[in-house]
Amino acid sequence: MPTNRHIAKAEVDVYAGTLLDALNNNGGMDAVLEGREQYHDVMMFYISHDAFKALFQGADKTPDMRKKRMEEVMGNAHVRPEVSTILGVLAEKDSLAAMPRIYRAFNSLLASKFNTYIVDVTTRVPLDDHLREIIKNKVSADLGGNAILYETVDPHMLGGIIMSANDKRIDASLDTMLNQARSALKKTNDMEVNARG
Amino acid sequence: MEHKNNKALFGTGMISAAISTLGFPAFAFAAGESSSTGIATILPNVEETVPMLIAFILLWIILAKYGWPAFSNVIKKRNETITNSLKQAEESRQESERVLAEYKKELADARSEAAEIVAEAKKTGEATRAQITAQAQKESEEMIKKAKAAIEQEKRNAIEELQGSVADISCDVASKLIDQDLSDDEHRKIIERYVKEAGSFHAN
Repeated sequence: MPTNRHIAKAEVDVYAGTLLDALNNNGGMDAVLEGREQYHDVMMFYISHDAFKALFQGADKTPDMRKKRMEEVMGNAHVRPEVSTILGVLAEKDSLAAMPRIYRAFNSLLASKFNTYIVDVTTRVPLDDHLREIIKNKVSADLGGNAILYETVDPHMLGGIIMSANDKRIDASLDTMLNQARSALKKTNDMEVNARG
Repeated sequence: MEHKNNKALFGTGMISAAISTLGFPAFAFAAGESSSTGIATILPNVEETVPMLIAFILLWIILAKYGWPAFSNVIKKRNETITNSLKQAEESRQESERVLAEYKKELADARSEAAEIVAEAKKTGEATRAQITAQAQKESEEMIKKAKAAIEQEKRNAIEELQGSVADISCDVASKLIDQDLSDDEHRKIIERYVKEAGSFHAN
């Protein structure tokens, strides 16, 4: 990726726009959502797995080798060809580290072009329709567009909800609230101890 | 000197005796040959008296001429010697007194100096003792202060740790209760409430 901030952003926008257009042209909003989800999964896997990262790093790997290896892996994972192509290009140009920025740019473009916001919702229990409606209404009220929920159930979560849309995050989970309560309690105790001292 | 004078006096006496014996031998033998009786026994014999008087006068003259001055000189010299000795003795005595006075003065000075040294040493000792006492007191106060601060800090740490543990335990208990006791519907009610109460996406 270029070192100039503006050029790099423009390049990221180009990747995101190309991916969005390709997905939309080849399957509409469903394809967009599917491709977005697949891209997100690959991105998270790349970030969290050094072995996967190592497949594309090192001086002994030529651009062609990196591209072919990425397309091969994506093919085996049944990733949409649009996503596979974009990731192949990123691997070829040794720009896989830009995946998170492209993902954010993709979401921004989705919101600006289609007036649609993808809302990542994480809860302990699956949402029912009533909750989906409430969340969509809130997103529409806050951001002024349509909301598409991308739901994740995390059984390790204590309760509550975490919502992310358009690079904005609302953490209303019980885990966070309890941690805040724990911190506040300790802080209050520290102040009391200091006041006594 | 005195010995020399004595020698001269002795010589003068010997010369006088020799003159009287050698100058008037007839009178001497005559006295031995006379035989008086009665009152004549106690009356002076002119034949003996005159020569003896002459001899006496001669002797006196000789003695006056030669003996007396020598004797006088001896006496004078003796007197001078005694005077000098007395003078020297007096000077020695005065010198001794002066030395004694000087010694006494030096002794007094030495005593005074010793007393001053002792007083100074005592003063220095007192000051040192006061300084050491003050230093020890200061150090002990600092040690007590530090100990108190350390105890206080330990107390705070213990209280903080205890209260932190209480907070942790409380939150853990709450977590377990929520984890075990809430049904899916109750979770959904909580989610609904939190979504309604949550801040805006614009606000983040």
